[in-house]
Amino acid sequence: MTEEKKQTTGPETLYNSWMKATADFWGSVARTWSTRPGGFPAAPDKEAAQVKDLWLSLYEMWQTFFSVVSKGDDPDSRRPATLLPELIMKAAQPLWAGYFLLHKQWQEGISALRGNGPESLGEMARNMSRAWFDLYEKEFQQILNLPQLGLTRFYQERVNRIIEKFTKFQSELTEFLHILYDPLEKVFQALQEDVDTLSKRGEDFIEDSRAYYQIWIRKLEEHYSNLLRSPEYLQSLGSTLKALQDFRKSREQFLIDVIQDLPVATNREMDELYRDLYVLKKRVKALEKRVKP
Amino acid sequence: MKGKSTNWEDFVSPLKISGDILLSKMAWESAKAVNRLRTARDVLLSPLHTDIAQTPYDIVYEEDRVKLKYYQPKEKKIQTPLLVTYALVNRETMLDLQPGRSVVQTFLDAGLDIYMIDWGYPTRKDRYITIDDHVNGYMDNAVDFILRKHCIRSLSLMGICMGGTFSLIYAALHPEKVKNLITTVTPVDFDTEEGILNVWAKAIDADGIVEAYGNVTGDILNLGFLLLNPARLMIDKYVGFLENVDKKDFVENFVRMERWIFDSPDVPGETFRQFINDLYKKNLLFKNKLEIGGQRVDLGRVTMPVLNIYAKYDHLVPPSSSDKFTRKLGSLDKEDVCLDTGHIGIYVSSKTQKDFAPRIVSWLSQRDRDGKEKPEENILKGGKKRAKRRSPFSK
Repeated sequence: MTEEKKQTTGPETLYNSWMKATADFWGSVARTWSTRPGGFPAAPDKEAAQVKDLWLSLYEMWQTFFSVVSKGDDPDSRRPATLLPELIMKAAQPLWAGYFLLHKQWQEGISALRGNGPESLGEMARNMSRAWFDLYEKEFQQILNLPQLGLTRFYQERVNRIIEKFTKFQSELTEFLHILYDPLEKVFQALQEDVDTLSKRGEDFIEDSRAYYQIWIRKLEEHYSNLLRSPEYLQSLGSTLKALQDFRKSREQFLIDVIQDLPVATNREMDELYRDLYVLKKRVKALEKRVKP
Repeated sequence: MKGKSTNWEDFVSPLKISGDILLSKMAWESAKAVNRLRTARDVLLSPLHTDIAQTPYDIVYEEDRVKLKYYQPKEKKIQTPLLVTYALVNRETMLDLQPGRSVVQTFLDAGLDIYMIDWGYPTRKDRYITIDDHVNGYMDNAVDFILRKHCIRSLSLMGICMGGTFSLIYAALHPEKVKNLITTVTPVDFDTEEGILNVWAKAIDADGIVEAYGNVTGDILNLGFLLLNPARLMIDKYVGFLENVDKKDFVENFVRMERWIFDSPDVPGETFRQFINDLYKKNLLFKNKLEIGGQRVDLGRVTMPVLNIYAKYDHLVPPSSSDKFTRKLGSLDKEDVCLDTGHIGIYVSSKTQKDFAPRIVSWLSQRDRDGKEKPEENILKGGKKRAKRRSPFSK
């Protein structure tokens, strides 16, 4: 058997051929789907472009991996010390590109929400957190709602659900805290305006800082008194409590999964037991009353 | 508020106050604060007497987590014993917060036998316990125990806040066992927007909370109470503490109150659900449509003498929630009293110490003397013998 024949039939050559065939196949798939007029008929242009980018990124990563691994001429090229950094660098390129794309979208979202500009620092912070949770809903939440398959689908669904509910709770809580913070900022501004007005009139304002504090706390109390009855506050309170309840329920389900194989009773099991106990005790007490009038 | 601006300085610029005055004031107050902190350090590091509920008592009856406390007077002057029912939120220790500000001590000095229900600390196993279990179960059993022990047919019942609502329900369901009824800061008419709690209760999903939590935790309830007035309860209160941190008496009283306020048992889930849905949302008790243990609660059946005391500045139970229900009672002897204080101040403020408890004592003594039924007629024949046999805890 000649040396040339050895090369063509050796495992390395076979491996290289397989790698090349795989790369060609996925490359053609990516190009075909992205260029085919009916490739993604239902998707809007922007989403189709994102999917295309994703496919091409994956294809490039595969090519990178393949090109590095298949450098058969140089014996050093297969050493991990030289192979790994190059692989990481090349693989990281499309990931960075994806991150920058996402970052750009965040900025666009935040700019759109800003509109005419915030009225205050609190409003600015509120807009930023809204933008973040808005982005989460549009970009990440959908991934958590992807249908799960196979034997472990229910477990995976519950893990996804707890992440989703936790984030929803954080979103509602942040909004709620912003609403609670609002009077603080407004009262500081109102107090400053009062002082300005008096100063412009040439009147001496109160010298005692305790008096300033009393005015401030009284104004704050008034603001909170109005806020705590407002529809906005009530709506936010209701949503926050609802989100907290949903999160706790999903956490409960998740914990049941975690401890079901341990010799520990779950809350669900204990609640069933407590209900039985409650009913039994009630019946015994009723009977006891009948026997001992 | 000024027009829209993105200039950061507009948001963070300091108050524009006459600089010289402010600086001199600040310097003077800083020096004062340093001195205060020096004294405060000594106060806080010294032994502080912050125990509450120091009046001695005996536990005379127990059922599940519930205990019945008995305070014995040195000299008995009022024949009919008094059973005090506190709310499920917070603890009955508030009535005996500290010497000199103790409703219990005032009652004992007046020669009253006092029984007080300690609801204990519900755990998850208590989540299914309903208002029926509290009223027709624990309360009724405690009443029966006291009636047997004293060999009497009826007792005086005093309810506080939610405990007042329970007491009113009990009096309507078991009027024959209640000789006198006293309700204090008791919510009955929930169809009012005067109190923020009433507004919130209508907006929350009680079913969802109970399903998620089982019991409603004391911490959540306390957070809710703090949010009723964040400016005063979360800021001003502690500013006041810092301003007086160098005064030992003040610090001790403050810490006692803090210990009591944040000693909050959980509320059993089903009781919470029923209280919010049937009372706060549907106002069934005031409408005479509430059903407890399969029985309709008819306020017209409350025929015993009733003393109803509420607070003018109550932020938890607004006056409009307490000042109308006596009109619906069947009793001919009823009195509404509005005190110039708040929900907690009615029991602990030095201002009302001379008004609240002494007024109750006076009202009870009068009914002890003037009631249609003479005290001796309230005693069961041969009862002492029976009570001794049936009450293992009686002395």
